[in-house]
Amino acid sequence: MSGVTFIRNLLDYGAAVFLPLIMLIIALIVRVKPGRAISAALTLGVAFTGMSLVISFMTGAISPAGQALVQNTGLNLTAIDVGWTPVAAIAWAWPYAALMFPLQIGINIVMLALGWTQVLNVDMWNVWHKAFIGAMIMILTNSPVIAVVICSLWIVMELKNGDLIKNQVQALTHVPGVTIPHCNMLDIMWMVPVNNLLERIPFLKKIKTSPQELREKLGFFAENHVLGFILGVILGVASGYNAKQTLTLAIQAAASLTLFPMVAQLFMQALAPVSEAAGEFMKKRFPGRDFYIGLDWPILAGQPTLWTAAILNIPIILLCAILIPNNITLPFGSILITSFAMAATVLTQGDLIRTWLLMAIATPFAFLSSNWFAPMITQMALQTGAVTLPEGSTQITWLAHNAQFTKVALFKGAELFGGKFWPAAAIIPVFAVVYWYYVREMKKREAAALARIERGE
Amino acid sequence: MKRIIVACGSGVATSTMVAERLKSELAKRNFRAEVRVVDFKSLKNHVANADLFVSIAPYEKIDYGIPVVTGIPLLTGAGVDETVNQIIKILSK
Repeated sequence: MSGVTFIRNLLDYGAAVFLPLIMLIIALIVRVKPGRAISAALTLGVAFTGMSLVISFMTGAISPAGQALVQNTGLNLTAIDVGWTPVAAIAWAWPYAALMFPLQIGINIVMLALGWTQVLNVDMWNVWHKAFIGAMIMILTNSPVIAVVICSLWIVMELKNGDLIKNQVQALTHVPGVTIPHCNMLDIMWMVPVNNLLERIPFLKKIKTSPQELREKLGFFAENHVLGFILGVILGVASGYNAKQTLTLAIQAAASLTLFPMVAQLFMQALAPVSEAAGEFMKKRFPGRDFYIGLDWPILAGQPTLWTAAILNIPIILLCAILIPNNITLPFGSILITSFAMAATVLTQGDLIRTWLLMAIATPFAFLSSNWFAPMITQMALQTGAVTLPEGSTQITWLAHNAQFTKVALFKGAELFGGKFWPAAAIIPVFAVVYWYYVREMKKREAAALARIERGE
Repeated sequence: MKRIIVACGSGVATSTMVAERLKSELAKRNFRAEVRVVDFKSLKNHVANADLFVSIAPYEKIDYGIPVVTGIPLLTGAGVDETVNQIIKILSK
């Protein structure tokens, strides 16, 4: 058996077998102790298996309800929004996913050495976004070269974005020396023009809110099991289920939303040793230099505005699901659109009303992009074998697609290489103008944020 | 055994990262404690059964009724020893 057929056979065994082996090799290369490396590798296989179990359980419970909904109401919501956790699993299952680690680390080191960024990104978890983009570009253009080019561009944009928002992150969190090069923050650029308009409305400034108090009152509804149960009841009733069917569906929905993060934790446990080693490796390369350490977004998780706005946005999501013409997305896994909430919270510096309005305005567009993404995510899921879907018309999708506006722009631009000229010709100039305005605006806001930090606010 | 909780936005990535780092640092120092990862949204349900909360949002001005230690150093890698020693000191009381 030649090397190539050996690797091909391994790939055929599926992600749950193939990726633990890759993980073991990477862990040993970065000098994780063999015992811990084997444990991490096995945990990764367990994570994949656990995730496909929960996805099957969820689609098994929800897709019949979705089909009953079509018959009962005519609403054709056949693409189940699975939220980010299954999508991350699908992205990790892309055969080249592991290559994104050296790509991200390499680009970051080069940019630091050349002084192009001050961000040292130690967040190795969100490497999966790059794997996701790479897999998508492969579907759109069928070219691994273009996939690598686009992923590299994305990594550069994320790092530059960490530079563009660092003072605003500090002014909000009071944590010095860190920033958030998470791709979600790229979507701030599309919110800036809208936010500037909202800031000019005097009436909005007069509304006094207390996000913390509201969060304490509404927080109950944000808990996964409660949220899942409520969504299950709504879906059951809308589908014309009887009481027993509705309550069964509601408990199953609550179980799905509770189990997803529990299983997704296993992915992080598997990645932790490699992630730690990569962080140490990078820091050793630049001793004594002044950095902004790039962290994942949850350093914002203590912001009451983020959660309150996300909860207040739920009714808007449900309305959009019904009212948007030709919508196929059945909102479920990303019913709390934290992706918009975190970007808007940074931009408005925690202003609840504007964060909520920005989310409400962005939500209909989230449906459009989620509808567009649905066949591609479904294809990716089936190709990688990370997910098995029930027979029939069911698709999966992701409503709170991270950095979705920037991604749509990028993918439409990349279609140029797939032979489609016009979408790219339209989107590239728009993107250039929006980005230019964004950089200009961020420079002003960074200076203002720095002044606030220096005044000790 | 003393119980430490760590929380992040979804109880998946950041909190698990902090917890894994903390577990290995505690093991190095032969300090036995349970480290549990929870979801920020249901933090209140877990605080009652814990002895210490490692927060990645140390700016919060909320009284959780248990000692709170910042977990940011466990993410950035700067000041890990101080943080772990502080945690051990509080739990040893």
